[in-house]
Amino acid sequence: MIPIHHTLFNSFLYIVAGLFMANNYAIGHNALPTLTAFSSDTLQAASDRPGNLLLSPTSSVISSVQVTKNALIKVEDAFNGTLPGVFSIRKASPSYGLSQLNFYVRGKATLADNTPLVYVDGVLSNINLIHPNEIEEIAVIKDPVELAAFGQRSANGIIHLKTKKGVKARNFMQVEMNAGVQFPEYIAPKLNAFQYSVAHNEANINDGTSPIFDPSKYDGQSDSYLYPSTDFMNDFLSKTGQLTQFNFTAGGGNEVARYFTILGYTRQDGLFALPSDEDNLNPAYNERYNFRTNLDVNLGAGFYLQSNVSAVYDDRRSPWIASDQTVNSSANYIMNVLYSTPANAFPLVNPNGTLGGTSVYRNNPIGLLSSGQRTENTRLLMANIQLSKDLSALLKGLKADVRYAFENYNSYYKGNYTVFGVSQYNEDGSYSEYGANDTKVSTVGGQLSDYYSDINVEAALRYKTRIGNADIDFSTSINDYQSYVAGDEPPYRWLANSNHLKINFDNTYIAQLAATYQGSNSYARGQRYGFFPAGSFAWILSNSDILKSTDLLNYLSAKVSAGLLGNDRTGGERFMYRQAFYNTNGYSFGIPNGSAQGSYEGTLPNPDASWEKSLQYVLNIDAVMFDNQLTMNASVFHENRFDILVSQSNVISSVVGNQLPQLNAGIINNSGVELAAAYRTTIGEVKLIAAGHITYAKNKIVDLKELNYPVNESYRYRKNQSVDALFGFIADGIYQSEQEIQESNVLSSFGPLQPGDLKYRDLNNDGIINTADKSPIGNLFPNVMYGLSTGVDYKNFDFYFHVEGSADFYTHLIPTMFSAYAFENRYNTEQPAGSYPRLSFVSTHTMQASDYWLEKAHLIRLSNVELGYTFPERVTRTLKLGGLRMYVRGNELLATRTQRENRDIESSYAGSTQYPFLKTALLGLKITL
Amino acid sequence: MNFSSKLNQRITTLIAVVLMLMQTSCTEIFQESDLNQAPDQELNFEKVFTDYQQYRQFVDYAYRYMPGHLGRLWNSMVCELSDEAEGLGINTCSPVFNNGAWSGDPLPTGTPTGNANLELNEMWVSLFRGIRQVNMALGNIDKVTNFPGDDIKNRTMGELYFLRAYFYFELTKRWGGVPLFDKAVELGVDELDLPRSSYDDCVQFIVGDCDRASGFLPLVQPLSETGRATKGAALSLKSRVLLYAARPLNNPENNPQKWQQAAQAAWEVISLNQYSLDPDYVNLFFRPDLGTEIIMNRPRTKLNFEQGHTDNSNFLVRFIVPTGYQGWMGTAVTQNHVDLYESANGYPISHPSSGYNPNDPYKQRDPRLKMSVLYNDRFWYDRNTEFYVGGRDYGSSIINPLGYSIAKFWPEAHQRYKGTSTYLNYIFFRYAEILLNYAEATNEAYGPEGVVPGASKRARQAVNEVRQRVQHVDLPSDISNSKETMRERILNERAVELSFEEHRWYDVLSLNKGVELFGAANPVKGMKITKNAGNSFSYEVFIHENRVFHPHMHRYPIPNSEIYKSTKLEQNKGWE
Repeated sequence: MIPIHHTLFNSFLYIVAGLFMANNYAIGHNALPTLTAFSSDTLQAASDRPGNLLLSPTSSVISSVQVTKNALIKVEDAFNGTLPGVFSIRKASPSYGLSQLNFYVRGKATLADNTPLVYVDGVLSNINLIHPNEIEEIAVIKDPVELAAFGQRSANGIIHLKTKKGVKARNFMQVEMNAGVQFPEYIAPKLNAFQYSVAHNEANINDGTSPIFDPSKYDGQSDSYLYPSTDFMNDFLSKTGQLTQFNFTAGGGNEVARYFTILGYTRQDGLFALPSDEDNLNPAYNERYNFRTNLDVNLGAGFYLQSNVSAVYDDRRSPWIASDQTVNSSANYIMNVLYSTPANAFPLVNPNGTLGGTSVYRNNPIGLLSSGQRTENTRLLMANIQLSKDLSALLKGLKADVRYAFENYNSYYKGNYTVFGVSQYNEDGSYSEYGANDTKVSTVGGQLSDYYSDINVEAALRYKTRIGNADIDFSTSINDYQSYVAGDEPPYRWLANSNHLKINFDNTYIAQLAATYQGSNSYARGQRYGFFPAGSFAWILSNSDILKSTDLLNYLSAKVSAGLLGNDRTGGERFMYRQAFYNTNGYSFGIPNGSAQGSYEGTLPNPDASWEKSLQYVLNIDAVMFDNQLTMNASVFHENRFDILVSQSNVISSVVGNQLPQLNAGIINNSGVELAAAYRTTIGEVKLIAAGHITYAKNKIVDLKELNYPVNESYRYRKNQSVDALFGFIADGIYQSEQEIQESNVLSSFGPLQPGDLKYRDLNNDGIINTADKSPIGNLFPNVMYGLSTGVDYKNFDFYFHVEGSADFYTHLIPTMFSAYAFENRYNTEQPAGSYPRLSFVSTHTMQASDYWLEKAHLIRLSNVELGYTFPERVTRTLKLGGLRMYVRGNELLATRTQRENRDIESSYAGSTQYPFLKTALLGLKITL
Repeated sequence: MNFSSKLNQRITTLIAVVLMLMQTSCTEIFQESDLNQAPDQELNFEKVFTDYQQYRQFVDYAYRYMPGHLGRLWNSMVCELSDEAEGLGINTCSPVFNNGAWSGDPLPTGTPTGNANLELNEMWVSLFRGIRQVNMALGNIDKVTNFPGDDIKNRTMGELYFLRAYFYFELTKRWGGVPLFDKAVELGVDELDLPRSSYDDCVQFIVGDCDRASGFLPLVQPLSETGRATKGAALSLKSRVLLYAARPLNNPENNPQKWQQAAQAAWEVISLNQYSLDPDYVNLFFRPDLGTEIIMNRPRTKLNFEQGHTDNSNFLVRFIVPTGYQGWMGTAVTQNHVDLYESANGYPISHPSSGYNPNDPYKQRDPRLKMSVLYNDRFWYDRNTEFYVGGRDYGSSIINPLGYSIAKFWPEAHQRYKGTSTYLNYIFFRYAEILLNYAEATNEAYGPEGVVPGASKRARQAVNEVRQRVQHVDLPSDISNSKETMRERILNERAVELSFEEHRWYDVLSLNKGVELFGAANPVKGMKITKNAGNSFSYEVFIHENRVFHPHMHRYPIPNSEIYKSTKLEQNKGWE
């Protein structure tokens, strides 16, 4: 919890501190970097983290200020390029109201799940239901010594969110109000009716069939019912949506008891709209109520109780589509209808007042948006209760903790809808009906199948002593983690014993050892438990005789860490070690026959199935220089991930007659460098602080037990490529003539070639363009990720911006044949130099992955810019307030985009066939009472 | 203070107890049993191979591996691979066979041609799955304690041998010799990298299974068990296997013994005296039961037009129907196929005596033309068909027809959006095929007027029997009086009688005539029909497509992925 009386400048310092791996130097507190970072504070901090290991100073942490600056609605937005070493990538398919980002710590090292586990106060949680203002800090745990406690679940890194606690200060109350508007980042341009009919006809002719439209009818003169032209994207999407956020926080306390409490309300409106004369819209929106109370009570006599309890109620709505479409997928469904329905498909309303539609295009958006509402209510309950006892009476320096953390997530949906039909208005004035209007309101509802519940129980003993000039910390804990997942019995369960030893010689040499013994119930007897050791050694040079701390070099340390970690989110069947048989539909006999049961042998078992193992090595160098004005950190990391599950089907013949089990046999290496630096200075009345970080991580597949390709097809190996290497064709432009096709002497496995098709290279010279001609053409995952934050204070004004970026990767985007890009650039006899291949309904030849559609990508995104004004004390005092600040903020305002079609670099369907990402402009007011 | 110290004491005790409990469980952690939580399996090896009811389900599931659906290539039919038909429109995979762009590499999944994998690598995988299923059932049959009776156990054995033979035949007709398994192999125990057995060894293996099966199986199954293999099915399979084995691709030295064996095997079916030709050729494919002709089929429930792609559907009907009848017109019959229907007098239309009139091409033809093919200006359902340019059945925006479509698998009364439904048989074996198998093998072994020793049917009689059923004239003897001319007429007869039934493509492959019939020498032709004033039509044959067929394509390529991971498996020649 940030003391509210902190100046804004101090807040910035917090942010900067967050950019460091070596955050514990605590510039945020304006303190000199001292070794306190390694001592008692850390111990306390560590005890709040799951797995109960002592924190070493090699995690990246961001604090509450930066969380709330970057995250308005979803906590995940605070990850956008803010944490050194964390790659945050927008999901390929955006999800309305749900998580839209994937995170990766220091790149990727497996073909299976690469994402880190995300904990909130000790349990894995859905972070996007939590109010950003509840978060005290977000820590990314990257050091093997800290990760070892998570055993089989550790290799991808861990992100841990800690919620706020009360502080020993006078009671405070704070009200924050944000009101904003959101704009789509991008709405894809669409062809108008004339353009569409021209393109459709051209594709018909290219396919050797007859054109079906008369483009000249779309001149605005003809009957607009028979020759309609509808701008769906404009008519059914608002230009803006509203965002409202309100929260009330209070906290405070004394030596005995401290509390923090929050009440939060958030509402985000969707963009769907109806043309003005329609008023029965079933809107899309999202409302959320957050409540949390965290209590710390010193019970006396060495007892200390922490109780964090939170509840969330979330209400998501969208127009009704179908019972198997969630709010999220409904939004994308509607977006897809708006984008994919041709402008001349049907008039919105027919002359007789019925909704327009055809046998092919039955989704009239008026009907879609007004005939039903889907509601999804989610309840999330979290509790984390911890009791600590100082056992110094027994043994000086001994402490014990018991902790119980619990989480329950439940969603229910309901839908009210009527069925609507559409009619096609024919040239002779008649109507063809498709479906009928039904005035009966249907109501459905039930529990959604994404229910989950987690329980984490832990007990720990910590011991601290000093022998000679060495401080010794030892802790041991046992941990029982259970995850109940809908439809998957029994719960996942992990049992662990973790031990940690730290020896600090004279604040100069620090050695740490961690050892975890952990088992899970997904593997065979004898394969369930694993041993996860890790160790590190740090040398604080600035404390040694060699190099005494000076004003020029305030601090310098070097640290090496290594550990054996694991990842059990390997994919594949859960109980892979057993042979399963399944019942299914069989083969029916007899006259008449009905359904019959059959059974078959499931995938063959792998009794030795295990988790992925990961050997990780890290070298860290931290430095503070120029009278604490410049702080720097450098890390070099290397990971050797092995026992990755790979298919045996590349090794053993299919003649065996069944699916072969996966085998722990794949190897992938990942290594890279992480750099972070921050600088602060004061020039006259201007205070400036700038901080940046950059990570380079590159993975390489060492072995995946691939097929033995023939020598002339060695380009087909994934070996030596990165995990996200795209395999595709190499295109040498577009075939300009029949003759050129004849001369190239190749056949296409995608169908007959015509001028205007892409000219793929026949890499294996077998005369056929097919899958065997695909080679690695580009890496789709960025190797470089960076972030830059700058804050300036001048008198009562403050200004802040944050930029994130990623580089050294490619995007692959094939604009569809009816995209504006294709229309402008299509190949035809009039435009033989056109860069888009010939239009065709039949041929898929050009729609394959190829380097023709590859763009070198460099994403730079202005994810946050903010200007604030803090009212001077005399004003607030007059108003009897503790503080008053106003600010304007813009999120996601600018970004680089793809060259073709100007799409989002990470999520190219957003704004076309999927719901768009949103920019936000916001006015905020923070009142401290 | 006193209170506080008491509290202190109590909580200390509490924590100590909790810690002790935790420590106890800590020691238990290191016992595996704590994590021994995997749920009981609903089904496992013991359950499947103990109780007859479960065992029955396992055995019956093996039937599913029989390629038994005309729409099994999704939007393409096997007849489109051959000169019978052309796959049109979007999502057809046959072009990749027609243009010669198929190979041992898998076709691109997620694209229309990707469905060709269903006939290539996925068929390879699926048939070996079937073989394993059978081998597991055979190998563990004695573990089943409660067979309802020995007859059921015997019948089951017969079914399993039949199925294994069927799967191996389906493999050999595509790939030639393949690795042979008479038991389900175990990982880590058995040698898994096996070489191919020779084609002849495979045939011997299959024939052995057929013989065993025919010994165990009953002549007929009760009505409630229709669809199960019978003695006749096992012997029919043997007939087909031996016929394929005697044909030029597999019998290059033309060993007459192989033809004699094939003829004998066909006679074994005929001499069961169990089967006769169904007088109603048209409705043979829509009848719910077997009738007298069908030896084995895949029983299906009645389905409407809209019922999907699944294995148990007749989606393909929607697919073959012309646009004017609300279909997709995905499969167009070729002029090449239509030309195979003789004139009503029994002469091929190219023969001077045929009396064929190219300006009125559908008059006076083999009656099966009208039964199997929809051509222009004939009555169908409620009107005359309109395959002429601009007619209702001419095609849609994406489809350019050849002037014909399939009538054979489309009952006239069954119309889209009319709420009708129909049975549609997938016939594994029918008696007409056996007669033609007999005719072909007997002609090769003993000449057109020859008989199998001990048999009572001449080759010619068998052919004529098939023709008589549809009231077609007997084969004119002047064009069938030698082994060579008779051979040609029998191939023609098979093409017409068994049209679109997944015979032509495999027949021609095994006859080694692919280059001649499926290659550039026989370009795909269509009929351009123009409607003239006064309701008359002009007919003009046009070349639609030049196809590619190389000699090595008579056998399929083994999936390259199988070759690349094996040190012993050899690719078929020409596909390396």
